[in-house]
Amino acid sequence: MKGKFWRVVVGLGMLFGASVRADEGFERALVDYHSGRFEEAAEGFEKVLERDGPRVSVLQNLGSAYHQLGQEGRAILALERALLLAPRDPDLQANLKRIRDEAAVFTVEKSDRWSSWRSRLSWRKWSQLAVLGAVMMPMGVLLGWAWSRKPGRWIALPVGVLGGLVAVGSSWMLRGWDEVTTRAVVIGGPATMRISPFETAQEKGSLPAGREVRLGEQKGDWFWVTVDGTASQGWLAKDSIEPVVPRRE
Amino acid sequence: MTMRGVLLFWLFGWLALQGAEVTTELSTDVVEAGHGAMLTLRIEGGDADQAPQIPEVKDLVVNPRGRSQTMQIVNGTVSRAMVYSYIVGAHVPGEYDIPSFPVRVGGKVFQTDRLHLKVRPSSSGEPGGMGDEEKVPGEESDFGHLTFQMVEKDRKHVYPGEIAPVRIQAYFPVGVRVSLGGQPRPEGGAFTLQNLSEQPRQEIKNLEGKDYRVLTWYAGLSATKAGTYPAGLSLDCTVAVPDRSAQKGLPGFEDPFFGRSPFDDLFTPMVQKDVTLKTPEPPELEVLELPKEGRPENFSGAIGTFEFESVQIPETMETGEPTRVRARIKGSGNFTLLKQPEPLPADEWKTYEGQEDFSPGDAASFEGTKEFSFNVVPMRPGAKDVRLGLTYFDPDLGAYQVLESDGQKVAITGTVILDEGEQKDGGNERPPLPDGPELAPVRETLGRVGRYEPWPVERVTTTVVGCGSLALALLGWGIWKQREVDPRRLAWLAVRAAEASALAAAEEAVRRGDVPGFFRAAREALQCRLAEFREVRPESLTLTDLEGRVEERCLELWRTGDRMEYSGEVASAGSLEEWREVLHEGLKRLSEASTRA
Repeated sequence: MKGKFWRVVVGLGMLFGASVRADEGFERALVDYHSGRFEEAAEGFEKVLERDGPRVSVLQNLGSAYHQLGQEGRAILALERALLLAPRDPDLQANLKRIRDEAAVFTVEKSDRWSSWRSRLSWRKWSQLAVLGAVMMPMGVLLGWAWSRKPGRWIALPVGVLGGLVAVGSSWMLRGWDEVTTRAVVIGGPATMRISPFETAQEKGSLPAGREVRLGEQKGDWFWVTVDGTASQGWLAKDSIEPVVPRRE
Repeated sequence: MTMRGVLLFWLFGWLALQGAEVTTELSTDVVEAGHGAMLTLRIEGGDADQAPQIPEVKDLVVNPRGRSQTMQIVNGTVSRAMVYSYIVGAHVPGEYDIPSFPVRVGGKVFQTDRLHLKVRPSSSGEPGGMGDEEKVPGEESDFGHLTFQMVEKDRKHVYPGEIAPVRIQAYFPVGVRVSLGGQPRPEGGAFTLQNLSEQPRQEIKNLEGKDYRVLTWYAGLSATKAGTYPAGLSLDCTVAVPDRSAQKGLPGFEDPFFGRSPFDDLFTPMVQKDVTLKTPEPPELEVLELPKEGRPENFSGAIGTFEFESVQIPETMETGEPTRVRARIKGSGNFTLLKQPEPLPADEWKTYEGQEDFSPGDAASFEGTKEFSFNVVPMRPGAKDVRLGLTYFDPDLGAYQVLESDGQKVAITGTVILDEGEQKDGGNERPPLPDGPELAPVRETLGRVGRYEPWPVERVTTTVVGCGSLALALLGWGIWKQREVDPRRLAWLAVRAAEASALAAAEEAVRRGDVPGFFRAAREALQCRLAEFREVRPESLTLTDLEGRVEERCLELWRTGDRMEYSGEVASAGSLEEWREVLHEGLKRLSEASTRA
């Protein structure tokens, strides 16, 4: 019992310490940014991301820092990642649009009602909502029976039905996730597309930094990619692109 | 043959020779070096005494292709013609004259006409690409040829993102069996093809004496970066060609000019060969950078020429209330990047993303009409002259254009609506505009750590399905439990049990010859069956309730039972079997009547 208590105390202490370190790193990167030391700022934001995980604020600032450095591919990647966390954030959308415009990287965006609904929440929140709705279903039924002789049953049962609708609807929204995991951004452009996954293979074309591609098969250090809205497809070196959703090695 | 037949034969021959005629003809006047034209020497009404000799012409190769005979009978008149065929051609380009030469037919000498053949250089070295489509395509390959033309032929440059409509044509000699391995694709990375028609149009064209199967696609050529790049295309296909390695040739049929006999193609096995057709010497196309100067803030990348076809704006609106606005824009260009227009002046309106529907006007989706339907919210009241506006880049003018619709008088009621920024800052200063010339300011607070990924989708699905199943199971269990304690159901079960017991007692009474016992049990069974459907207690039912539902005999059964119960009268036991039938018939009738009810 005593050992468990100390483990909890140590865990909380480490959490607090990490939070303090993140704050310090973030503040330092901000100072670098405001002082015009964009390279140091970008490095600082990257470290905070690596250490603590993704945050909208850090990703947006990282995008701005890369933009100032002229690295539009990395800037677009950071903003795309931030939009996974906060899909309707107007600052992120505006920054992304501006950087794309400046880099002359135009994308074919989906503007159907389905995509509009889906972009109201992050993927994480849709999954949480699905599970919450799922739990509401049996809870509603149980409460309905528990309160079978009370007026509360007329609230409990609709709650269960609502939970069911929320669960099914949210699960449906998650169907597009697999597609998201295939998205990638050209970070160092122009990246050369080749007809075969070899450095010496014939060139098929090149893609500018910031251009979004769809990842296909991987062979060694090469990815088969296609570009939405065009007939372009070919092999790109792995180090010239970065998946929008980071892949665990 | 009789003497009469011999005379007739000579008579016809003599008559035929009187009308003999010699003509020569070339299948085409122009051929490429290394290719041949067909020369036919036709002798009507006779045959040459000896094989005609075509005079030698320097560098001109003449290759006899044999002799054939045609015969026609029209209204009983027989006409006969001998046709001598030759392939003539040259390896050296130039103008060749084949002089008139004598042909002796039946001892009579005929002179042929002079012929002229132009041999031009092989087009394999000629530039292709955007050349005139009606020229014979270059024979750089025996299998086919690929060309493309800009639909707007006077275009000398394009802009990144612009769609320039092109027509792509692949020529395959008729007879070459072709299987396409895909669709035409741009060479290099400077261009992409958009809206490529899925199925090419097919037609047969005869160009300079040779038949070609021509496949035509339409597409939009779009540049990806500025600079000057060759605009070349390629097309993968598989062709079936004769296997020359297996070619033996038939003795006596060798063709000294083309190196093979005419029967080779018949007997040579075919092999498949993968080939890639490319536009020869693709033309350089200049891709100009979109000018940064004068680029409107809301420029969405639309390049082309556009104009409003119609605009629908309601005449009355209320501040803060969303109102549907429709606009149809027609023109030509990259409609994909043409975004919905916005009401002007923009700071007096909130605009929401709506729906858009594009109707292409041509195969390459270059021309067409795009219809937008979206909600706008007026922020300021008053009588306004509302216009819709959008920006695009006109490649012909090389400048950004602001397109505005005609003004529409709109009466806007209500009060001034402050947007979020104005509310926060007391209306003194607007927040940093996200669409402004600069990026939104960096964030000064750290915020929460998030996660890109959702919870594992499989687990979420399993949870939803599991919880849904659990909820359904709980619901089913609850309904079942409630049913078990339902008093109506319990009463119904009791009546069913009592009926079964009464019927068993009646059977036992029949077996024992117990007349009173049978009638008592029979009446009870009838009461139970009736009570089962009327949901009343069996004891409360009387003969009156039974009347009209069963036959008279069954009513008699009940009355007899009553008499025995109340007066002690005993009927003869010998009729019990018959009464039992009456009882079962009565029960059946009651069930049927209840079902109908």
